[in-house]
Parts: sequence; structure tokens; C-alpha cells
Amino acid sequence: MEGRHAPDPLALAHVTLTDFASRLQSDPAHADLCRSLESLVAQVAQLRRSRGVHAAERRIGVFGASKRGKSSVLNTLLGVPLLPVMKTPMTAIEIEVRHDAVASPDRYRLLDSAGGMPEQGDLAHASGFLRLVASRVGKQETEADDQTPRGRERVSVSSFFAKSAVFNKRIAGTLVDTPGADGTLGTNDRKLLAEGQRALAAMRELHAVLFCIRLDMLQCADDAKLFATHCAALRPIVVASYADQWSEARDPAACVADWLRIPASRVVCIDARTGRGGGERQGAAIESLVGLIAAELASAGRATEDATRVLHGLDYLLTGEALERMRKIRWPRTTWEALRSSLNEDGRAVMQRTFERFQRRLAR
Amino acid sequence: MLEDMNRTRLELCDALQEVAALQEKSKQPTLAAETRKRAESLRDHRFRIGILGGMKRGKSTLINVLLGSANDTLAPVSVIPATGVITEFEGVDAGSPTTVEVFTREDTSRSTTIGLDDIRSYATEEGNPGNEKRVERIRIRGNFPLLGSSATLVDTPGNGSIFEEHSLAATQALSMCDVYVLLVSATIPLDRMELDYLRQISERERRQFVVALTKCDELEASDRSAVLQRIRNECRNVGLEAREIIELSAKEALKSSGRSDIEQVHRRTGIKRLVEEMERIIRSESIRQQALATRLREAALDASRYLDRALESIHQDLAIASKSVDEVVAQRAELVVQFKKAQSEFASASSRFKSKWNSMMQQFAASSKGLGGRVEAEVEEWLDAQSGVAGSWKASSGLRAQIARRLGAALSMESQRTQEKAEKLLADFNAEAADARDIPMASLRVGSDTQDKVAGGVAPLVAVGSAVGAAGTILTQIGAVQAAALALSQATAAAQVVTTSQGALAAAWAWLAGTSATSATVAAPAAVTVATGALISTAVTAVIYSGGAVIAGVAATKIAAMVITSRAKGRVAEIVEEASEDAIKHMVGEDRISGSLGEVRDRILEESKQRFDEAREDHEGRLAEIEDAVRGKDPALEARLREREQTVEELVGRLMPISSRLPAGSGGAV
Repeated sequence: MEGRHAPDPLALAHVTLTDFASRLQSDPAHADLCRSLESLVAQVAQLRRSRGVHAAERRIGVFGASKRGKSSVLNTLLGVPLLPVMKTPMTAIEIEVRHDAVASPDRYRLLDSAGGMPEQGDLAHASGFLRLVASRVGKQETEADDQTPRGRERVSVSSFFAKSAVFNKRIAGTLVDTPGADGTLGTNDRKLLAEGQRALAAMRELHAVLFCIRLDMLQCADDAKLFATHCAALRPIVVASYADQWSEARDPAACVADWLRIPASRVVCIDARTGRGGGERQGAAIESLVGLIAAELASAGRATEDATRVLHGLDYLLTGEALERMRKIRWPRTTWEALRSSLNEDGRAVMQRTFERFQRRLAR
Repeated sequence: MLEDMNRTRLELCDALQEVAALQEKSKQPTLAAETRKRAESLRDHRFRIGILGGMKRGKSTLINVLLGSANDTLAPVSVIPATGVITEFEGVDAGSPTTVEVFTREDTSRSTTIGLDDIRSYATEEGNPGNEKRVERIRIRGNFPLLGSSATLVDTPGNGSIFEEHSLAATQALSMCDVYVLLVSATIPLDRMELDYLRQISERERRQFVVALTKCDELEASDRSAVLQRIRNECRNVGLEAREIIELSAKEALKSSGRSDIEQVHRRTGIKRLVEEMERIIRSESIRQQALATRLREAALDASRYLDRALESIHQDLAIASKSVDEVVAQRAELVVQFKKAQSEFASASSRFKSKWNSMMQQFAASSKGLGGRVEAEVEEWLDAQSGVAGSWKASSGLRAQIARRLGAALSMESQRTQEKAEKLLADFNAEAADARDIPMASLRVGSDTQDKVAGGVAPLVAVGSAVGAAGTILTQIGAVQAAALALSQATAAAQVVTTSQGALAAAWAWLAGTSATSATVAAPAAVTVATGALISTAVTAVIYSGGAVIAGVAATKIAAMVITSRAKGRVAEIVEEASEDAIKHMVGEDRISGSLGEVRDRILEESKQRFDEAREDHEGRLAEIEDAVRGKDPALEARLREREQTVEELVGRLMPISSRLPAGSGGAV
């Protein structure tokens, strides 16, 4: 049943997981697991939506906890320090950056849906304007005394970006900067929570996700949790910044790969702290990141690739605490077998691991 | 002042031990253990400084500098690279040997002494992955000049590290400390966990804390004020005041240990400032008094809360014990009558449920049998509307889509209907069972000793509800219909492979049944086994799948037949026909579906009945016990209760003056 007539793994996974989640819903004991499943369903839906999206409509964006160099990574790709970067959390709302082929290289246009007016001006001033927008939103958030969630707020900036490593023949689309997403892991801090929700909403619309971590914060639980709960099934490209801080003998990419259980080929280590310049190593890193993004966009919608991704997400879900509560759940084996039949070798290995882990935990 | 308080402390310890003894007598071993632990920690009172901070904040580095800077016994400390458990550093008088003790979760009162070299295999993730050795804490006693002989430094496991075990332990440790040093990395000023730490501190009575900002050497001057401002703002947001933020560069300080200009290095790196601040806190009598007072107040409050509850329940028990025999007997008789009534209501609810379920099963069986034919007819009609069979076969993708769509729609509608029906039936049954078990148990007032038992008796009754609820959950598996419908459309697509001599049905069967069998006759019984042999939930899913598979089979047969008539491949037609006949016999046969859905039904009924019976037995047993006591079979009950009442009152009497002697609490920063 492989090859031409293999079932659509995403459709299959979508209904199976939805069914799982709906069965669990009525039982409060499974609330955590249910949430994880729902997140996995959201990721599968995201993968499905990505299909057939026109090249120019594609969104490539960063995702990760606060202070993981997300904006810096995008600045590196843009070739200009456009997105404001600071030691304290900076990005409060989603910022879209588009390529404007007819714009003058030193001008920008800005559309601020968060309440401001459309602007245009000198590119060198764009960063300052974005900073203003961020501080305004931050202030509103701290001062707001109602609990009502805000609507999506986003700012769009477009320019020619002459030095950009992405806006060339290879990649068309929009770059998206997002706030820190750690608020989605649960917090009492209202601002963190609002930013997390905005980050998640923005990430769900991406077609290529760059998951950002820091090499000096390897093994931080929040990073692993964000990865596992929100985007493992999307198999994001992992961008590990602060490569210049790495002092151990082991290859940093291999360490990241081991930790997040992803192939080392999906990890790019860059010195993104300053967001610009860098030596030969940095140049090679940017080159490899751009290559990965291009490959990522090209692979969207391939059945075996999709199935592998879903299982990868499931594999993650099973390693969490939630598993303890899965004892009572029965697996509709037939569906999983069908899913398996649509996998490539890599995916089968993931599935094998998943089931073995499940059985081990059950036996304990 | 401190001496007075220490006397009060010892009195409180004794009182707590007696409370624990009382709790043991009342068969509350967990509570008793907790109280004893509390008494022990009060008796062994030391001033505790908690070092809080996420991973990679330079916590261990800092502790090494703090504890090792002024003497040469750095080694014991430096072997702790990553803390996976709580590590306590207890300062003891100079001259005492350094000892390491490990406390496990099984028995927190006893410890094992280990060598310094063994710390690694208990305190690190490498040596003790996932804390498989169940270590609760490690206590290192040594001569640490900073700590003197009465302070303890508590190193919490790195919160926010990937291992959840660590975070849990850190939260526990938080409640055991008198003063906190919150370590914040200048490169990540206050992340999610640190904000939560601040909130936790703000909710405690002891709110003293010092913010130590590490990795300041990585901070550019332009960012410094923004970072400091953020920390101050966030503290203010939770109502705390960060009076001083001590900026550190601990790494540099550690690198320079042993150097002659260590003093200067410490001054430059902020270490000296932190040490001074900690010394001030450790040596300050008023801070220690405050801390001790808070702890005493907490302990006294807990003890008196417990005693209040105990007294209340004793009084309730006494109320029962002092009831007249006639009263209790009458009450018992009434309850028995009510139980009987409940039982008959329950029985009739069960039988109503059973018959409705049966008719639902029949309807489902009948309509799924008809489904294949209906879809077949629809597809045929569609084919007729096209320009002949051969023409539409060429447009095979159109045909595929048609069949997939129709099959999906038909099956999903049918199963949706069945699912809704089943859910409704269960909800009704649940409601009726709830009515039946709604016996006025509260009419019998019960006290603490009896409460547990009665609660145990009621629990199974309540569980009837949840058992039925769980069955409801299982039933939503009929919601797997969506998956089945989808699977069907896939299978139908697969059926297009019929032009090869392998046989599409065989493949479709194998695919749906999840077996690798290539022959339909092998695959079909395999699917049946899944349906009958598996547990309830799987069974329901399997029923749906079976039904779906048959419909797919029928449709595939039809397609095959159409293709075959034009291409005359007799062998394929034979296999296909044989397979579908076989399948219909096995799958849609009324026995199969009703067998599986019937299993679900019987299981629900059986389970709820069992629970109902258990509850009745428990409850009656309890009634008999009370009755026996009242009838005088246990004349000592009342006396025993009176005696306990007296003990509790005596303890309350002792605690009251102790509590009144404690100074009033006050929070605020150091």
C-alpha cells in the first residue's frame, strides 16, 4: 500500500488525533494529555493548511521563549538591524517583514494594525519606530486592568533589503518576528501570558518555523516544553544562537540534536547576538540556514515527510508527564498501522521508539 | 529575647510531638509523619538561606565561591556540578570533620553517610538519572566560615531545567527557608520561572530576599540600567521591594580563587558585597528572631488548626454515640428501606437502558447493512449519468472522489446517529442511576472516625456515575467514525488498484484491518478477532471499522465488477465476490455487531451493579457498627471518645499560651 496510493497521513492523523482528544475531553484526569493532543492537532492542521500556498504568500518565522535571540536571527537574515533587540524582553507583538521589490533600498513602509498610522521613511529609523510600538503595547498591557484578551496585533514593515540573505531568488515570502512564547507554558504574569498567546497565534500561520534557543541555556526546560508542546510535529529548523559562547569540545549542533531528539542537520548554530557581521563561520551558518529554509518550503506537502512529522510530534507528546495518564487509553491500532504504512524509514524508527517507550511505561 | 523564643520553640516541639501521637492514634499516619517532621525541624532549628535560581544562572559557581572562598576545603563543594536534589550546607564549628549524609524519600528521618567522592552519584543527573535513587536531600556538614555554626545554605535544584524532578524539589525547598537569595542572570533578566519565584515569595509571610544579578560581566553598560529597572519593576508588580540588586561576575571570581589578589577580585566582582550582605543577614539577631517567630507561628497555627478539627469530629462522634438505641435503630431501618427503593429504581433503570441499547444496536446493524447497497446505487446512478463505464473509468480520479465522498458522508451520518443515540442512552441511565443513589445519607451525622468509612461507602456509589461516564467516553469512540469514514475514502481510492491481479479488496482489507495479510479471506477473520477479542473501546471502534470495511468492500466489488465487465478479468472478479460475500457474512452479520456492542452494554450494566452492591454492603456494615456501639456492645466507645476529647483540650490549653507569647509577624525586605 505504499507509493502512489498511500493514504494521506495528515488527514489520517488529523481525524485520529481529534478523535483521541475528544474521547479524553470528558475526563478531567486526562486534561494535560488532552491539551497536548489538541496542540498536536493544531500542528497537523497547520501542516495541512501549508499545502498549496503560493510561494509569495509563505511565512517564515521565529518561535521560542523570551531572550532567545529571535529578533537577532531575523536581523541576521535581513542584513540590517531592523528589529529592535535588547537585553530585556523587547518584541511584544508580531512583526511582519516583507520584501518590496520596487522600493528604494533605504526606505521602508510600515503598517501598524496595533493602532498607529501607515508610515514610511528612512530605513535607518524603522528600528526606532518599531521600538516605540513595542513599548506602547507593553505599557498598555501592564496598565490594562481588564482580563479581556486583546485581538491580534501586528505590524508590517516592507523594504527592498538589499543585503538580505533570504529575499533573493531562492526564497520569496514574509519573515515574521514573534514575542517570547514562554507565557503559554503557564504563568501568573499577564504580560507574559498575552505575549505568549500572540506568539502562538503568529506561529500557527507560519510555513517554516525557526525554533530559537541559546547554546548557553542548553537543556532549559522551557525550551524543551515549548518545542514539544507547540511545534515538534512541524519539525522546525532549530537556530541555536550564542555559538560564540560555546566552550565545550563537542559539536554544539550534535548536543542540541541529542537534547531535542532531532537530526543534527536541522540545527544551525550562529553568533546571533549582535545580529550582523561575523566571520567565515557566521557566513557559513547563515548560508546553511537559508538552505534549510528553502528546502523546508520545498518539502511542504510531501506525504512521507508529513507523516514523519506527525509521529515526531507524537513521540514528543509521549515523553512528557502526560504519558502516566495514558494508561487507560486504548490505541486504535488499525489507524496507526495505516499511518505507519505511509512512512519512510526515518518515520518508522520514530514510531517504533514511540511504541516501545509507551510499552515500557505501561509495564512499569 | 532569642532565648525566650528558643524556650518557646522547645515547648512547641513537645506539643507538636504529642499532636503527632494523637494523629497516630486517630489513624492518620501521613498527617502524623508530617507533624513529626515539623517538630524535628523546629527542634533542630537553624537559620536557612535558600539560593533560588534557574539553571545556568551560575548558582553552583556562586555557592563554591561563597563557601570555599575563605578556606581551603573547596573540594567538597566543587564536586557538585549540577544539583538534581536539594543540597544543604550546614555550618558547624571549626575542627569538626566534613560529613555528607543522604536522605531518601522513603524514610526522611534516617540518613546514609557517604563519602565526599560519592556525592556525584547522588546529586547529579548523570549519577542519579530522574532521581531514581529517590534522594530527597543531601546534607553536607562542614566548617563554612560564612555560615558560622547555626546557619544552613540550601541549594535548590535548578528550577527550569529539563528535569521536572528538579523544579518540584525547588518549590518544596522554597517553603523551608527563612531568607532567599534570588539569582538572576543578567543575560535573561527574570524569565517565567523567576517571575513565579517572586510571586511565591510575595505570598509568603517571610518575604526577605536579596537579588543577586549574575553574569554582569556579559552585560554592556548601555543595557545595565534597563536590566536593573526591569527587575525593580517586576518586583514592584508583585508587591515586593528590591532594595538592593547585587551585581556579580562570579565566574571571574572563581577563576581567581587561590590568587593573592583574591580580595580585590572579590571586591571587583561583587562577591564581597554579597558576602557582606549575607553576613549581615546571618549575624543579625533581629532577622533571625523574625524568622524563628514566623516559623513558630506557622507551626502553632497548623497545630491548633488540626486540634480544632479533631475536637469537632470527636464531638460529632460523641453525638452519635450518645443517641438513643431506638433512634439509631429507626434510622437504620429507614435507610434500609431507602436502599431497597433505590435498588429497585436502579434495576428498572438498568433494564430500560438495556432494552433501548438493544434496539439501537439493531437499528445500527440494519442500517449499516443497507448502507453498502445505497452507496452502490448512488455511485451507479452517477456512473450512468456519465458517458458510460469505460469513459468514467478513464476519469478515475473523478470516480474515486465520488465514491469517497458518498461513502464518507453515508457512513459518518449513520455512525453519528448511533453515537448520539448511545450517548443519550448513557446520559439517561446515568441520570436515573444518580436519582437512585441519591439516598439521604447525610441524615446520619458522622464524625471523623466514621467519616472515612462512610465516605468510603459513598465513593463507590458516586463511582457508578463515573463508571457510566467513562463508558460514555468510550462510546464517543463511535466518533472514530470520522476516522473510519476517512479511512474508507482512502480504501476506496486503494480499490482502484483493482486493475492489477493482486486484488484491491485484499489490499483494502489488509489496510483497514492493520494486518499484512494479502488475502481477503485471511484478513477478514483477523478483523473479526479484533472486534470480539479486544476490550470494550477497541470493540466499538472495530465494529465501526468492520461496517466501514464491508461497505468499502461492497463498493469496491461494484467498481471491480464494472471494470471487469469491460476487461474480462475473471479471476479478479471471483476473488472480489468471494471476499465480499465472506465479509458480509462475518461482519455485518447481526451476531457480530450486536456481539460487540452487547459487550459494551453488559460491561456497563455489570460494573454499575457491582458498585451499587458494594456501596450497599459498606453502608449497611457501617450502620450495624454504630448500632452495635449504641446497643452497648462497645460500652467503651463513649469513654474513649471522652478521653480523647480531654487530651485534645489539654493540648489546646498548652498551645494557647505558647502562641500568645510569639511576637507578631512582619514582612518586608531585609
